[in-house]
Amino acid sequence: MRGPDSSTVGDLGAGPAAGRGDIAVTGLGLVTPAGIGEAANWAAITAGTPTASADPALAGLPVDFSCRVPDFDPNAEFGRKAAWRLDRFAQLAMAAARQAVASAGLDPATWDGARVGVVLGNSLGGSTTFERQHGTLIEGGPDYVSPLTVPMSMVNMVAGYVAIDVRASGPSLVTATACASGSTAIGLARDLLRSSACDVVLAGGTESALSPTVMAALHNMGALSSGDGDPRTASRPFAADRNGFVAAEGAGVLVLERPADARARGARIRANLSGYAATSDAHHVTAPDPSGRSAANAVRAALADAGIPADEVAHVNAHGTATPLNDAAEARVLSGVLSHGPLVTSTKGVTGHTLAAAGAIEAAYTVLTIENGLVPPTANVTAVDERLGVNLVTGAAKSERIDVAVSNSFGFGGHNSVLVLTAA
Amino acid sequence: MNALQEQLSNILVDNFGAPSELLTDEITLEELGFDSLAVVELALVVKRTFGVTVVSDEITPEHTFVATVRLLENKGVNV
Repeated sequence: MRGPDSSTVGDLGAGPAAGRGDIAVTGLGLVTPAGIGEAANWAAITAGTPTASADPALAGLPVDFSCRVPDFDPNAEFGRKAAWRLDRFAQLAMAAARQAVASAGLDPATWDGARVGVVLGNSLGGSTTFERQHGTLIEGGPDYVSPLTVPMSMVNMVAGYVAIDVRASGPSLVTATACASGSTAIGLARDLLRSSACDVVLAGGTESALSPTVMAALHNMGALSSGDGDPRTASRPFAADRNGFVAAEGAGVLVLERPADARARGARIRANLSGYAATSDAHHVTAPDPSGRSAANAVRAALADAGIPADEVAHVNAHGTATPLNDAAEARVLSGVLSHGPLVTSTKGVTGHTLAAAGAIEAAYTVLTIENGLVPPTANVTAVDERLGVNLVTGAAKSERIDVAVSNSFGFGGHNSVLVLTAA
Repeated sequence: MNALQEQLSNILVDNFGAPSELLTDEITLEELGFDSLAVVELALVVKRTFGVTVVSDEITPEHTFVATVRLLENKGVNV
């Protein structure tokens, strides 16, 4: 079914060598607005239950709602002694990583940590901590600024914290490609496994940056949905009346291994990561290239990497932020590269946009979609923007066997990252 | 336990998650989970709560609970 027939995937020239080897996904960890854990997430995603709601921390701002992780108690998860010195973006990632390791049936107490890597995407770090400490500086003076401000805020620290927590002493990295960061992390993790630098990699993304300054800036940029009086329906990817994204927090982590290693230890392979590619728009700081040229090249290259013809793609978990520009550019990519019309969904209708975590959370949702043969609907869409020509799943989840799926992620700065996931 | 001891123990437990069952006069801050950064953070909370400045060489993770109380008393803290 799969082959190295690059003629079907576009005009990339020589491109990467196809089919250099699948990587197995053996564990998932999800801490998102849709819930904590696989079961809660899958229930909310397949039901299309929106999670946006009024956010007391944003009271008084022009956009005063968001999607937050419900019922997350860091003191219960880590103990107060550890929790107080961690920014929430690290707490969410650590909880997701613990879940992923457990779901893979791995035990950090017994594994060879030197062969375990951590690659996590993040963009805004501990901006909430930074903002709070800036308030302390202004209000009380420099003597009152916490000495932990820097280690709590630096983006790289999340990989360090997770590495410490699970005793992973192989490479630990943070990728920063804005809203593609989680996807980029999974791609780089794949390379660490293909090169045999690691035997196991925890790969994912995290974000918790719902601070007043960040939210005011995103609003002034024109990126956020106004909500139209009802936060729950504000995130409407690919809808005719979409008007921006809903900011969210969350974390997603996947456990990746070489399939032979996974099989040797009797692990269940949930799906395969078969292809990955990244390109850059080289067009504008925040706006996507309306032609979608580089994003389309990323899809083509990821399929070439997997050695899979474009017409075998049955499902796309779209980036689908619900901004007018993103969805239009992405639709152009889909109609150009995947013109046979695979089932498209954007799970951001439920979760909102978790920024750097999105690519990882959506990769996990794509794994669940493949496993369950059920494509989640795009929530909140009553009228699809027909000009886009996207075969969008709306209303109820759609039962469909999915052997090949694509997960798109695009980020400010023109970063395009595409994963190809396949049935095990 | 006098009022100052009680207030300090509340800070250690509530702000920093020190295990209350371990609190004794002779336990060190390190044994309660404090490293050098956490001790500096403790000094900030102390300043905010009691209005006295404790500089870094006056308090270390090796300080016992009772030594920390004595330090505050010597700085004139009286609750």
